[in-house]
Amino acid sequence: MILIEHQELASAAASITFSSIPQTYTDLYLIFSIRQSSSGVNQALLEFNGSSSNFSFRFLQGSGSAASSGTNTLNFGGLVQGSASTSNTFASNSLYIPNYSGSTAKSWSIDAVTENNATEAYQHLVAGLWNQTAAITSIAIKPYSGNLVQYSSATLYGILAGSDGITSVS
Amino acid sequence: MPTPTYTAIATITLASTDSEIVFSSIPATYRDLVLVVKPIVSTTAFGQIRFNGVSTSSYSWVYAYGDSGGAGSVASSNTFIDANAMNTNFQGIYQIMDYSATDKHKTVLHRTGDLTANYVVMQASRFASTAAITSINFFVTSNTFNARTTLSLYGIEA
Repeated sequence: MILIEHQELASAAASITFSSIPQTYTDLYLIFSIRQSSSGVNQALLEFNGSSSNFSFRFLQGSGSAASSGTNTLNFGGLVQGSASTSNTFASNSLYIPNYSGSTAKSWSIDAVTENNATEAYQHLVAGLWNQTAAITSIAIKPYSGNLVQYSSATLYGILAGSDGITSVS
Repeated sequence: MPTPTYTAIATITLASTDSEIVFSSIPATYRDLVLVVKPIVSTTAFGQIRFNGVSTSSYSWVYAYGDSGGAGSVASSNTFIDANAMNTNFQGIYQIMDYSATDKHKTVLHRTGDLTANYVVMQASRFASTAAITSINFFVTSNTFNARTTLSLYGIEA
């Protein structure tokens, strides 16, 4: 796993964006810790190559009181901490994109949690699809509404498959 | 010196159809293994995993799932680990913890999902053996992996 880029907001911003992602890796792994300036919906938004279209996903959710599952065709991608939740808490997300530079539709997965000093907090496991064959060259993380607050951060890693010269596979 | 993570061990992209992929001679160098599976299948295929070629009733698991019927949980056992159903847009990440240890059974943590099959799963599986894992069989029954199916194995050092 090789670090590509780390970003941390010095002030509120509309998004955290990774551009010109090198096409030299096999998979991408993005970890992000985010909070938005507005209250309400805890869904973060994803964009690939500047596009919010052609997304779909199914999630498994725990809310502190119930488990549920749902599906959607919006570009929801993980969780963002809302401004009404406990101060100084940020939602934690890890996004995995295999074969991001390939010529097939891009599946992705997210593990996400919010934090809150109360009984309501969310955990999501998401299976997603970006139904485009273009290689992913940029990723943007956005809040559902408002801005991402200061200290929101994201780290992008590249994972390169290969051989150790010892293990065989067939 | 940072501890290396996701060190490439082996990878395969099928050039033609196959029903089983085997990783052999896995070194005991690492603490954990991570297997990333991106299959290409024509119709729903049920993935299965065996370690060290063991085909006895040594495997069990519990998973939580979300599908069109809602959320639920299942526990079961068999002569293989249920690697979950695969269709056009499957993605699976399997973390094999302490794979080279000889003093414990082996745990596998799954994160899988498929938008065509319309489900997402998180699962914990157990291989009831204290033997170090030196091979992984990943296969499907009553179906095949198509060309361009990719499996990649990584090691994580402690």
